[in-house]
Amino acid sequence: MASGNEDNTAAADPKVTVFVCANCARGAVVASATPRPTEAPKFDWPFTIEQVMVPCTGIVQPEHLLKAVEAGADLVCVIGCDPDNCHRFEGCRRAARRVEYVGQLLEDLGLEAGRVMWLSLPGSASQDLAAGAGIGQADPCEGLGEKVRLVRDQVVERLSSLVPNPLRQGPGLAGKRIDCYQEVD
Amino acid sequence: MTVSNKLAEALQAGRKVVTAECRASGASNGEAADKLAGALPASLDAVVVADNPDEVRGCALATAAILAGRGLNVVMTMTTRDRNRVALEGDVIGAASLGVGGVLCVSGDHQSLGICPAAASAYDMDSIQLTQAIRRMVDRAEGFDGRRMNSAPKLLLGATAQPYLQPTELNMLRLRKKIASGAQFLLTQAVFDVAGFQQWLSAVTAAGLDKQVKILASVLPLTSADQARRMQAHGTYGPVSEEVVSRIAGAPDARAEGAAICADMAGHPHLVRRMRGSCGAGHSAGRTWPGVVAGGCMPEKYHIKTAPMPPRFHRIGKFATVDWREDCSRCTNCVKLRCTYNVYDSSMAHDRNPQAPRRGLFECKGCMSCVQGCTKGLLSLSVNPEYLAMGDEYWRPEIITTTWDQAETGRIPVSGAGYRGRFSSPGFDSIWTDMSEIVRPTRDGIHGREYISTAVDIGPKPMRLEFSPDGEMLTPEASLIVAQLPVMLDVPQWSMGPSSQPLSAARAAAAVALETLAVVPAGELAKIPPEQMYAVVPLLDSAAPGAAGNLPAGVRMVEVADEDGAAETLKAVAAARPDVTLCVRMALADHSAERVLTWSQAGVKVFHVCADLHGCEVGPARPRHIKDAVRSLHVRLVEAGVRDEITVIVGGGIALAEHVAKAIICGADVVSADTALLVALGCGVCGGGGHGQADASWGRGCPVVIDESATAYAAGRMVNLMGAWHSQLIEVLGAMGIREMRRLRGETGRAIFREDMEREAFGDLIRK
Repeated sequence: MASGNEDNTAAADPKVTVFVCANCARGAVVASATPRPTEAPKFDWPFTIEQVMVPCTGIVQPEHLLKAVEAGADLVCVIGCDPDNCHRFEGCRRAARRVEYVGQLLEDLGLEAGRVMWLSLPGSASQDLAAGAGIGQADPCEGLGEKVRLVRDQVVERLSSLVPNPLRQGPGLAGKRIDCYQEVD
Repeated sequence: MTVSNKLAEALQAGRKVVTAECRASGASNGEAADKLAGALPASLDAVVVADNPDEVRGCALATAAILAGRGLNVVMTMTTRDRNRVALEGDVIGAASLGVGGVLCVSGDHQSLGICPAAASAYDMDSIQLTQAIRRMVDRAEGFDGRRMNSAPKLLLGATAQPYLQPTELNMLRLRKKIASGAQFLLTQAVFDVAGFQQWLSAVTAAGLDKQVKILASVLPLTSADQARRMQAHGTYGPVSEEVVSRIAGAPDARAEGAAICADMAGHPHLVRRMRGSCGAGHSAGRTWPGVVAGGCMPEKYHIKTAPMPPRFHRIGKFATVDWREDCSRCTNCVKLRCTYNVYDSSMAHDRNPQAPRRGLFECKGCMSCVQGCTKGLLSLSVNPEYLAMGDEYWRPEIITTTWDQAETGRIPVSGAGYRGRFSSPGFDSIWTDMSEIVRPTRDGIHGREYISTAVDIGPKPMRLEFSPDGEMLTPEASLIVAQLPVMLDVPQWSMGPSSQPLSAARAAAAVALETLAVVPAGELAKIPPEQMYAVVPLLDSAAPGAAGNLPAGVRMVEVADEDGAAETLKAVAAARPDVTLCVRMALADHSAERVLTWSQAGVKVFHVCADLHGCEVGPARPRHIKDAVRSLHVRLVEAGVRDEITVIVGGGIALAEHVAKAIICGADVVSADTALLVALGCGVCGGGGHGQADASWGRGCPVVIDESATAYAAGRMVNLMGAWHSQLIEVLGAMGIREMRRLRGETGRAIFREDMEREAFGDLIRK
């Protein structure tokens, strides 16, 4: 029963779900290069999080964000590419709008709009395109570590301003904490 | 001796034996049989009932039963030409129950030589196999398929001998086989040329065969000069001299003259009166009947049993709706109506699993139904980047996913809407196999795929047999290992750490199921069950020579890396276990051919040549692919005149079933699969070397990290993959019109090489 914490922030025993775009923080890759890196950016989280690599944040639907909140996440982050540098052109913009939309829904429900969060990293679409065409371009990895750290700090900071997700011990669940990601049905 | 009847006793006692051969009466009423029975005196030791040798006269079994009912001792001839093993087995049991005393096993003249050229030939077994099978039935009460029988039939077993078959060495080999398979007496073809017969008999005596079996010489009363002429022309009889023919032709009564000739023959010291007589050659020593050769008498048809084996980690699909657009009207057309595979069900609805958005990436089959079904045109499928990130240029994502599918289902992969891709690229993709002879299994019957053999031989293959002047065979008996699948299961290309042992166990188990061989490092033999050892090829380490002299029982072949000390290791193995086939393992390189020739002179005849992960030579700055390197190795060995003695196993870079066929076309006898077996377990060839870093970041875990409990799973996946490959190989062979994998080796005429095509088409333009 970790959620019965007395201090009023979620930071003590945080439940965080992060959807990360696989392309948001890596260097340019020629299509035929081997091996092709698919590693997630090294966030070095100070606590355990549920990190889900997605090929593009455009795949994340409002339902997914809401389900994560419903399952008890204190904070749901979507980390995608900078606008104009998404491999799917509009994927990251859609994701950002969906986060905003879900935030509004949560606000209406009284669950705090800040419980969902959009963050961006440089992305690599134009670099990949340039590398594929054989045109040199500035390495997007420059200063990447700093940017990744900044993202992490923002998440940690946001978490400290949030109260624990009340759904973790909601009335509908009869006072029992459910396993965060237990399959229902 | 289990049989007691007149003939058996006479043979046992070494007495003079008199038998007569008769045919079925050709009439369908009982009188003819009575007449026949009346013509045969009761004093005969046996009556041999022929089985429609050159024309259809009736049923040998029925005639034999009728004669047996009259108190005659009957030996029934069984021809394997007309009946398959089911019919033969049934007739054997039936004959024994009807009182027939013995069976004469013959293959029979081919039906195209006379009896009925339009008839289908059975030839399910030959006479030697039939002898062996009936011997097992009589001695051990085992059916032809090995099942236990309630009681064993009591039958005397005979076979035929052809004294005039040349060369004598082969003739003796065949006799030895017949004796070893359990024949108690041999009946010769009719003798007209006594000198030739004596010559044969002395060879038989020199080989000591006359002491192992009773030989009955036959004489035949000719009835006309025409018959004599026919027999002269007929290949299956011995020489009928011109003297005999003219004697018959000149005689007023041909039948009487034929009988007189018979009597003359029979009056010869070696032949006795009557139509069949014992020659015996004075040997009367009783001897126990030769034992039965151990081992199965008939292999079953080769079949790989596959069973669906779902992966331990989710697969990675090629297509997915990676990006969802807004403005969905929630019509559920895509989700409920259109998606055939329920992909959306798992990825979207009712699921709090945070991995849910990724599920569609695993399951989507790319049918595009949802895209078509969306009323607002919101959906588009794109290629899953995770899919593109798998493997490398050689182990392309499509190869990896198709291997996964084959390992899961054990079936030929369905690629869908045809092949749009590049029609040639480097490596195996620049070979096109000849697929002009389309063989359709259902339509083409016995010419169809179920009669195509993928078996290959591994071991030294002497080009000729050598004999000493006194007829002893000097060439050591060939101990060929027959692998039913031309694919050996090889050790992985990189170190697998603690998973290595369970993987070896899985390979061994799979090799047993597949009837092929699995290479296992010597250090990992301990945990492999002894009954699987016959499918295991220990990979010996010359640095640790202890294992060489201490091989587990049952091992049939060993591999030793071509390095310092290999010769000593092989010598130690040969000294301890002379029956074990020796194989030298070496990296594929430009000097491979010379190494093979050197080792070949030292007596090693099997070589395992391993290319790298990408099927290229190891070492040179500009490595050639297997396609070129093995071709040149093959040609070099042909030039040196040793190709057919040597077995070349080619490994590395074999990723698809077609690569097996193509490597064999290039000159390999057998190929070995290594990385493909890991891919069968779900490996994405991430380059993590068993640590699976790349895979882990996608939340899959490394699929090839397995423990003992997953051995059966791993073996099942390997068997499935090989089952799918086997089916494809049969398709390839069928499409080439080739019935045997052995014939494909070096058959470059069955393939088109892009380089050759380009040279032919554009050579003149390129030439300076």
